[in-house]
Amino acid sequence: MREHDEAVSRLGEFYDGQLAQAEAEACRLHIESCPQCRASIKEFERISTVFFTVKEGTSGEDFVQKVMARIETDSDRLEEPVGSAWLRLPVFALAMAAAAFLLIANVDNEPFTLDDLLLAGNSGASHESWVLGAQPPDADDILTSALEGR
Amino acid sequence: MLGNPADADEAAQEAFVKAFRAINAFESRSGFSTWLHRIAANECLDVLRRRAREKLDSWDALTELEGSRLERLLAEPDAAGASETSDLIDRILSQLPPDYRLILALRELRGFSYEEIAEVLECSLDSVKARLRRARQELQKKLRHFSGSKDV
Repeated sequence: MREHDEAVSRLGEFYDGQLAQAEAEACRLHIESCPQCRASIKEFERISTVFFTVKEGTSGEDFVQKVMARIETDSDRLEEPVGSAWLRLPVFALAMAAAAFLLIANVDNEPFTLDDLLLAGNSGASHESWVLGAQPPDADDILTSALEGR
Repeated sequence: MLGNPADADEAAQEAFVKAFRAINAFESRSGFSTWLHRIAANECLDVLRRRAREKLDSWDALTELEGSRLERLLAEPDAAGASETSDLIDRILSQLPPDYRLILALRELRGFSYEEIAEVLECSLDSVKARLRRARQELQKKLRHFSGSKDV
């Protein structure tokens, strides 16, 4: 009886494959000999099939455009504080460029400027645009970077 | 999760917009997709709670009107993917409390592990196990009359 009660309390975990191997095996052996538990598992299967059949998603081709349009509408209404999100990506890029430069800078020991730093990191941009944040990254770039986990 | 493409599209758009607005608050304590799923899950919960307040079907009314369709659906589970049954499925699932429907969707539709569900919902593993158990029991109880498994 106790074994049955324990099995009943763990049927969901067994069905979801979330039990450790030894526990799953004990549960499986019990289910094989218990009509009531077997029926429960069959009900879980039927619930999964009937109610949670994954239908192919059909997000429209214009989904991204709709999201960006809403973001841009919100951006027009809200004021982005100067020096907040817009500087984060450029500052990060500058730090990466500095690290790259320092790896190669000792070769000829010539004095360097901030533009040299950026060119060494292959950014190709003048330092004013990075430091002053005059060219904030596009909203597309932020969203893409975030979604790709970068 | 929401039962129809239009609501799902709207909720998905809103989730992405909220994620963009809150991007500065993302602290990398969890993975980015977990954080985004949490925003989407909360958006779905908001929609379902609004619908629950406008509740259109009682269980008794639903079974009286759609009892035979429901019996056929449970007898032929493979027909569940058909579009003509999707409204019935949505109306049945809407009888569940929103957080039961959400946790079932995360497990059954998204295939999340219990640990992943706990991260999205910001609750303990034991809480996930208990909620899933209660959600399935609630659905089984509602369907028992139609599924022929009266002694389970």
